[in-house]
Amino acid sequence: MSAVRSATLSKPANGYVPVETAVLPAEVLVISWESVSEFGQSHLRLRIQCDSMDLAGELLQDMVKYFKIDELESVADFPQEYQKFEEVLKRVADCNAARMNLAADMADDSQRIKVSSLLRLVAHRYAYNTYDNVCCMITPIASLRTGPGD
Amino acid sequence: MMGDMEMMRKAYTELNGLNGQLMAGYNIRAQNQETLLNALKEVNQMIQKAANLRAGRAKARVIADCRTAVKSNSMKTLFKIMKYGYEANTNSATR
Repeated sequence: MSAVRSATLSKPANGYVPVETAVLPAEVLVISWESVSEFGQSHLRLRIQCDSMDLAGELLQDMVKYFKIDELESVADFPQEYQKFEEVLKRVADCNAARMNLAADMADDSQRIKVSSLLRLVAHRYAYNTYDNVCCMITPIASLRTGPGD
Repeated sequence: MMGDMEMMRKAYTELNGLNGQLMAGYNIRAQNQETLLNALKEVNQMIQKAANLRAGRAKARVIADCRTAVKSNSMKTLFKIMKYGYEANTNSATR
């Protein structure tokens, strides 16, 4: 990564005016002014061209502070950063889907543990012919089977 | 149950297996959760970066609109807000 030590503000009318700026890490940085007529009004448009959204934002915030602008709209097109961001968003969607699935699996597992341990207990009671207790054990299983989890 | 050693051993082996399964499941969940959290952090950073390209009310509006877009899962709107500062159809911008 190279460092930009000075930037040039180009003004078509007055020629080139060199302006000293702080040391900023950037690969490419171009700043240009243009006069635009829009909606029946003419105004100045500032264009900052660089690959890093961070750098552009920092520069813009400094300018806003320096020129004491308290309201500024902008159009921001950073194809590289947006492409990366799209991948991040895809990752979020994938993770979220996986999270839902895993939560459902977990609920299934815990339900299975409950049912299987109860069933084993009942089987054991059957094996030892202690029928008195079986009736009261079957009831909770029946309620588990028809529970909201199934 | 205490009288039947064989069955108890079987039950414990099964329980151990199940416990292992659950732990593996938990590890996968934890890893997934961490990935998700990091990705969401990146999303938030990106929103902040996009907001940093505006000033004043526009900045606050971009943050709020982006959050709404993320919540309603409309990525097209999110990109539009980041690029132009507002949704084209609602046009809440003050020119």
